[in-house]
Amino acid sequence: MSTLLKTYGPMILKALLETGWMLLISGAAALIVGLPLGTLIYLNRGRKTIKQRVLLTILNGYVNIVRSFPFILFIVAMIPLTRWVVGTSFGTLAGSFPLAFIGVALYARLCEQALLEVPQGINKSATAMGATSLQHIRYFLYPEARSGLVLGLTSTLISLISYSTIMGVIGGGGIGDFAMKYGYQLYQYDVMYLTIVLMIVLVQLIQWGGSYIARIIDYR
Amino acid sequence: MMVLHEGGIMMSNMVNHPSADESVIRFMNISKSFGKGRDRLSVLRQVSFEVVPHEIMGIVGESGAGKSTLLSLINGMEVPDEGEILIHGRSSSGLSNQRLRELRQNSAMIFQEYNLLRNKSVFDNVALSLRLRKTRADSKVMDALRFVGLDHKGKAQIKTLSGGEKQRVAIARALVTQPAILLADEPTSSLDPGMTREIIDLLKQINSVFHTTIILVSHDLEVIKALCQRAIILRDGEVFDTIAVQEPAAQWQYPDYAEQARMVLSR
Repeated sequence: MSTLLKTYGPMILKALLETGWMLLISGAAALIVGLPLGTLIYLNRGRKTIKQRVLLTILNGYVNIVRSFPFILFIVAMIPLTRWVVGTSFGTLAGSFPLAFIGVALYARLCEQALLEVPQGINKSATAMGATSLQHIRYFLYPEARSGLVLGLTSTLISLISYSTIMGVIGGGGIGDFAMKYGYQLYQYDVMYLTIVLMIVLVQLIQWGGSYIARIIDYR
Repeated sequence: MMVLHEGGIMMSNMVNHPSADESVIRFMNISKSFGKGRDRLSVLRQVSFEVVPHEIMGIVGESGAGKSTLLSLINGMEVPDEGEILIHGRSSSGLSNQRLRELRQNSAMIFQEYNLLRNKSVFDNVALSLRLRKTRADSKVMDALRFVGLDHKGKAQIKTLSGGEKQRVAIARALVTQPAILLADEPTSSLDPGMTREIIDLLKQINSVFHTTIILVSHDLEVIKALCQRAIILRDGEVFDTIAVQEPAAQWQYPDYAEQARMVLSR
């Protein structure tokens, strides 16, 4: 074990940092874009005007299409756009770009579901108190749904770890790519199993952290 | 907690017959329905009534009679299909979103299920009404909590409170902005008789001390009897009768709810 770590330790660390970098970028995108997107979907559910229906169809369409796309094909299909935005279609940063789209779609849907857990009476109360839409979101919806929103982000990050493992396709690196290259393709199964254990530990840590935060901010 | 001003209650128990220019709320031939085509459900039909300042008006009727819709129309959460609603003499029709919010902020509403934010403390729940107006006055929040007898529970979490205490927090949240009108939608329906009594006394105090006009929706005739000076009886979306509430309620003995309401409340 110690020989294994001595030989592959620096490479594993580099791969972990690449995974962390991809998670940071795509997780931040999920939070910054996915949260408002999920909130918009929630707020426009059952609305009657044509404008609202069109908006809901577009937003729902984005979320559903991106989530149903086979990810490896999605990465390939995104290459022109990735090259245009990032400047290259190769490397960790380029890998983070399609991953961010997935993160946004995943978290938007989980946000919508967390907001649906808020009792309708709270919404009625917000309207009756004369809250603006932004006040409704800031003072009523988010505080009441905050533990669900944290758990949703936790699930999104865990899914993103899984998605990130195939970033080797475009040279994105990461722990999954390392396991494939040095474990599977070079027949060093102990290296592969070691990285699998590392990934399990990583997922457990994220889940534990997310659950802990969700628990301490939930007074319900 | 402030002492109940019995004299004020006695005075306000006198039945008023409002004239048009002194009414706080005036419904003129209001109709409201939901849905379209074959699914269209007519909830209110040609409803007219007036509420005078400082009055406690009851709205009674069976489930589906249109009671809660009527409250939603008063604070602009619903728009009537026909007719006109005047609040303080001003029409609530065709208002911009901004004016609608102002209309809502001039009244306050309490609910059967309290609708408190469970992730916020008692203090923060009450302060929320002020925060929506972009003001922050801790002293006002404490005054409101003191009035409802919960000033010692400002930091408490909502889940630690009893049903009666939750409703008192909701009342403090409503009171903190000193509304002219308080709309109460079945505020005692989830409470046991002892807590119901507490809330009735509190609403009486609010009416007496702050001269707040209160519209109370309830299917509980005992509550209407104990609190209101007048009551509108709704049946199938129409005003069955508007009566002056008199003596303590008798036992249930009439098969038809509306008939029973008229008999019990006017006796």
